[in-house]
Amino acid sequence: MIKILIADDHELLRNGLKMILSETEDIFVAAEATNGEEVLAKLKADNFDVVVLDISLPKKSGIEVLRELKAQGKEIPVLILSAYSVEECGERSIKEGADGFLSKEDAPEKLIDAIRKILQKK
Amino acid sequence: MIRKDGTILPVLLSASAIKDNNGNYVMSRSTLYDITKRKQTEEELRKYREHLEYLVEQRTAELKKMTDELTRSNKDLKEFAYVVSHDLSEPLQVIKGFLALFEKRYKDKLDEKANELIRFTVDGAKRMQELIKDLLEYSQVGTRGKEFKPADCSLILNKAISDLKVSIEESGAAVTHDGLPTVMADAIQLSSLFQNLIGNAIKFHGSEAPRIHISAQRKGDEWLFSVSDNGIGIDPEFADKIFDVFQRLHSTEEYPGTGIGLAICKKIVEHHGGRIWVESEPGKGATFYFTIPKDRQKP
Repeated sequence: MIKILIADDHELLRNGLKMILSETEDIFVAAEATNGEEVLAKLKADNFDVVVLDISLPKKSGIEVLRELKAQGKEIPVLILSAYSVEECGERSIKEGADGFLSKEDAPEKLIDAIRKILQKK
Repeated sequence: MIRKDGTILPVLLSASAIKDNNGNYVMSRSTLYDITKRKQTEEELRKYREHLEYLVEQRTAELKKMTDELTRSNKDLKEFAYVVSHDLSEPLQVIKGFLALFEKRYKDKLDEKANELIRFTVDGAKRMQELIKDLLEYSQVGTRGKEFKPADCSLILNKAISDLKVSIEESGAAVTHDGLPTVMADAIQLSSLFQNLIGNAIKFHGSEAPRIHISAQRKGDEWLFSVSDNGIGIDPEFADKIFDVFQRLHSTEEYPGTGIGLAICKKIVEHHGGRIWVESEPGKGATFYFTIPKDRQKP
């Protein structure tokens, strides 16, 4: 089973993505976070296979979370989710250590594939 | 002069020598003038001048404060427009994403009425996203532009033409240009300016295939560019209105678009310190003119 941590400050989007992931048999959302600090706390307390991380999170942004994970030497696959375009922040996210980038518009259709691709690369 | 009571009396001493017929000094004649009033006037004038200087300093400081506040509030407003546009775009992306998934999964399982309702919703979301995207671009002209560098307008125009390749081919448009100068500008914004103007000339074409010509000539300290076409033209009554945000002269069924293109053009030209206007008559094509100062650094 693939254990996911979803981090986004909008409950509606989290619920929508959870619904989509619940249609698979091997991917499940084990925890949710609404801000960057919560993401880091949950990653400290538990192990996950993939973090689906919004870039515009309160308290600590997705980029700051990536930097902190790198500083801590944590090698957890991260899929960045953003309303910004790939041109605006896709490349930057990858440079900061993310394993994949998905726009929020594409997320409903491509989230499952994106998670699997990230895990295949690892 | 000091009076008996110790008070000081300001005086002016005027003395002249009195000589005999041979020019020898005999005596001197001195007159003392009481200049109390003159001194008082001088003192009043000095105080008045000091007060004036104080007032000027005060007004200058107030003006500077007002200018700083205006600059800051203008910057805040531009940032606000950018943030709002971006924040509006986020939930809309989510709506579009889930709608697309819904359409994909249920399109064939619903009746024609339901499919039509989905289409309305998808079209509405698409249109709103176009509006937000354009608003975002509009808000970025003043705040996120690049440093002005020497920009070869011929190269920039060719890039714009290449980006419009599909619509040029589809419409059978002929786009020609004279030699264009190198100006101090943000090349990306200039390319967007050409794209918008040429794109409009193609979109608003008449019964014949669009013919568009771009030229430039030196006028004093600035370059005057023109983009002329043989399209449907514009009623002079609307010559100013077309440069306002989201102003349209036609329905979206007739001519698609958000109606922000020329507002973006105006903002780009003004950001470069120039002016933009149109000269046209309905049915007789239109010529858009804009100026770019010869040497201008980014403010």
